[in-house]
Amino acid sequence: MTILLKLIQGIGVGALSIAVGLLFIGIGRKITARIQRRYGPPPIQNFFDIFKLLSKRSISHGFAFDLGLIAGFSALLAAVVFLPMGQINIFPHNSSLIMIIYLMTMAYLGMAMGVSSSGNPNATIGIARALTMMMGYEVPFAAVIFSVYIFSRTGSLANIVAAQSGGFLNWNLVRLPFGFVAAEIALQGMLGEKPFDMTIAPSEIASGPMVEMGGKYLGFGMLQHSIGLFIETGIMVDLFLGGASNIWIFIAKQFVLYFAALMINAIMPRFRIEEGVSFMWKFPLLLGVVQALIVVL
Amino acid sequence: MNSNLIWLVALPLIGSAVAAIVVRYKFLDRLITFLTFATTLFVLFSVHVGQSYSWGLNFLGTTLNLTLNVSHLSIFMLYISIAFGTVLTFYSLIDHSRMKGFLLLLILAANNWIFMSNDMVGFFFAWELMGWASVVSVLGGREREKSRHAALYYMIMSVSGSYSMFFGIFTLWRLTGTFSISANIAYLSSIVGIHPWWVLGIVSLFFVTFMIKAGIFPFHTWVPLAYAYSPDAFTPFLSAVMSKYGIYGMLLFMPLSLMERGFPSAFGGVPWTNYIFVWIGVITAVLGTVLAIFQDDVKKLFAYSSLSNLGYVVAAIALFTPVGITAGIFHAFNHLLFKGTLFITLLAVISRSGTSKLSEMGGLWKKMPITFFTFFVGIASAAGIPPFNGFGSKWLIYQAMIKQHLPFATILLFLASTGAFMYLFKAFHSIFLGQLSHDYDRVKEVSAVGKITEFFLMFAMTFFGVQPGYILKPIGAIVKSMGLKPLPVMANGYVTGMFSNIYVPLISWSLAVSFTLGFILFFVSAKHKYVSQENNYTAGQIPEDWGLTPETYQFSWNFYQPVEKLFAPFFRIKIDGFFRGTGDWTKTIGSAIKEIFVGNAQMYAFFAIVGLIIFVIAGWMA
Repeated sequence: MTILLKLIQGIGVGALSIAVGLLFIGIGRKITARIQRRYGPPPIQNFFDIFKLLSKRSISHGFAFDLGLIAGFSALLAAVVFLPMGQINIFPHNSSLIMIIYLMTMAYLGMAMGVSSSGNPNATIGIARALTMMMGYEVPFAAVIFSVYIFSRTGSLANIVAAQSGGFLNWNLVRLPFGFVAAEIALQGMLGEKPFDMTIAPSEIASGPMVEMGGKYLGFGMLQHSIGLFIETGIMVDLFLGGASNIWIFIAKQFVLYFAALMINAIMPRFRIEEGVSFMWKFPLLLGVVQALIVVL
Repeated sequence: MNSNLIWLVALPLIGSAVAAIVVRYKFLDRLITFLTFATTLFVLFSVHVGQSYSWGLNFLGTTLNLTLNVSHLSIFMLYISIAFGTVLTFYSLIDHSRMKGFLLLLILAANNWIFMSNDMVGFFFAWELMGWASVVSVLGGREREKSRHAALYYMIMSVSGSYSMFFGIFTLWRLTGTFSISANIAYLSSIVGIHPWWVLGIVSLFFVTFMIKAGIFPFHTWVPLAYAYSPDAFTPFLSAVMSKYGIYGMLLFMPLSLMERGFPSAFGGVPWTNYIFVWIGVITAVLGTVLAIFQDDVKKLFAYSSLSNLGYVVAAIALFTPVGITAGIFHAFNHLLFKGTLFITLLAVISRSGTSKLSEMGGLWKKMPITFFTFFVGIASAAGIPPFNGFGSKWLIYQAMIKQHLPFATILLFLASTGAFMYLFKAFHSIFLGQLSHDYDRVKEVSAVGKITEFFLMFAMTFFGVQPGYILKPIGAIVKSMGLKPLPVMANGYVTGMFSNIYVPLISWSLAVSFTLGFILFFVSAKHKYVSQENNYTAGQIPEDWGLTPETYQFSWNFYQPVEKLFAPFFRIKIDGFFRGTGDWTKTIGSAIKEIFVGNAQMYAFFAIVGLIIFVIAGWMA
């Protein structure tokens, strides 16, 4: 009975993360449009897009292509159930942050396998850039994670949230400010927003990984992006913004983080890959290391 | 007295002799090798912890006691090495590379002797047998000249390691008058409080040997050469099993660090000596990863990858905490499984495509689907992705490092892990994904024996990923036998580190459900049709107009060029400056020595024997 309950809860959380992620992207499109003095699409445009894409006939490059895209979507869906979000915490004793990060890696591997098996070099160049960028932002992010681990004396997201309870001043945002700034810059890279959007550079490599995707494959890609957005901002909320008492506050906090990322995205040009990585290894890593030193000493 | 122990050594020796007689008939040689491995595994079932066997060897009027003793650690190592060897030799029945089965059996005999030996004479003899047999095995790769060079290089490293160990053994013998390993370690731990530097010196002599065998920085230079140019069927054994001898040796001496009160502790309560060793492991992990990213020879790439993984193992066991030791041994096992699998699939790919150059392959996944999936599971394990087997140990290693408050070492290990994802994907893409060259239109999947092996390995990697308890329980016994408190492992899947817990089967269930949902969504949405690989978006251009063929429309050369630019300053300083400087210096000294020596392998061997005799005589006189 409990298994069935957990199953339903898990599916519910997955659906919620998809819905919230799609809504965020939709609002993001609107905000970006307004910054650029356009009218912009309605915020729920992405729901129509998904419905349209999933119902369109498309071409595929073989079973590895299919499987890769399904894995990209499903592995993130599997990761999101371990994320504590407000009062919704399906597996409270299994929210190890490193486990969630490694589970997300499965999605990236699946996605990379799928689009590369299409045989289009643009897709592979995009993946190579994404992996390079990943090496860039994961190092400062790791520095922040391990600082928080040592600071909170726990590696489980649920316990990290619990350690921050009792008001704004207990948030890691206040207690570990350098770590927060470093993680915020790393988040920009994680979300693939400008100035770190070289992975999907439309004019250079024809949108990189998305080049061979059409119809439902593009739909799966969009779903993956929306869950990824949800998990990445959610991890940040749990790590630094003290979690939340209920799901709506959680989503509001996530949106604040996404909004900040959007603002930077709207006004920034794009780094070259090696510039992006070396930027990540200079300022954010420095901040992360300073934070780690403060925590350890 | 348990005479079944002696069979573990004798049986492979007999098998080796028989196989050597029929070595001209390759299949017969391989068949005898496989059968001997399987029989040895069968004999191993009758071996239990605590059994021992000893016999006296009358040597020039002195009686040497040779002892075999089965500890928790040795039975674990015996099981994993022999089981993997059985799988590999089963696969090698259909292999055509120039691996000699009887040499592998000699290594097996040495393998069993090393893991059971409780006296240093037997240990040294077995170590030498293993060393020489593996040097000869490295000869006979696809490129003769290069494999000869690699074997020579490996031999010189091996021999210098042996001298070091020999020196250590006789120093200990002078001090204690016995060759027994356990007695000597007990002696060392009793004096470590009084003479810490003496103990450090003696143990270092042994550790040089073990680090050379495991390929730990700064003794890693032979690894890429020997791995890349050895016969393709021998490389899996070299990487999966033989690199663990060094780890085993280190683990023998590691309990000393419990007593190391003579040294002040560094950060996080880790003794200084261990702390330095942790960093040696971390440097090895990062160095291996960064160098692996730029390799074009796939075997070299995975050689550097092995280097990197052994760095993880060393960093973890050097902590000498319950979590650290558990994580280290667990990662050693996982590395054995996934790297063995990866090298076996490479063996399949290289035998079909005839090249080990990444830039010459591509798109093989449609031709070899089972090998493709095995490779996929292998790299997922190596990248530490749940639910496959590499995840649990990597996770535990992070827990162990963080528990000792070593954030910087952990950050670097995390960098190595992300980098691992990069080179693994590079290999994956360049071999299996992308455009299939028309040269490989007639490539076929491996035959039935290969398929069975691949299915079995895939199953093993998933099984030990989902149920890590089956490995963590024996490791718990090892940890306990070292005088530490073992980690609680419940229901075969519930792993608890210091900082957080994971219930691994839960992750698998979550993945199973979400993949089911993914497939359902995929099949209820609109239909798709399959198109050929040439049917690509090319921004409105027609590739034929530019004379583009699948080979030229495949991105595999300079895969990580931006990273190369990023690391270029490091390469200039480290490789060009430091190593060339060292190289010139060595060359100067070398040419001075060359005046005396002739410079061929026989002369080196001759001097090695002369050196040995001098050592023995010195030992007798003293």
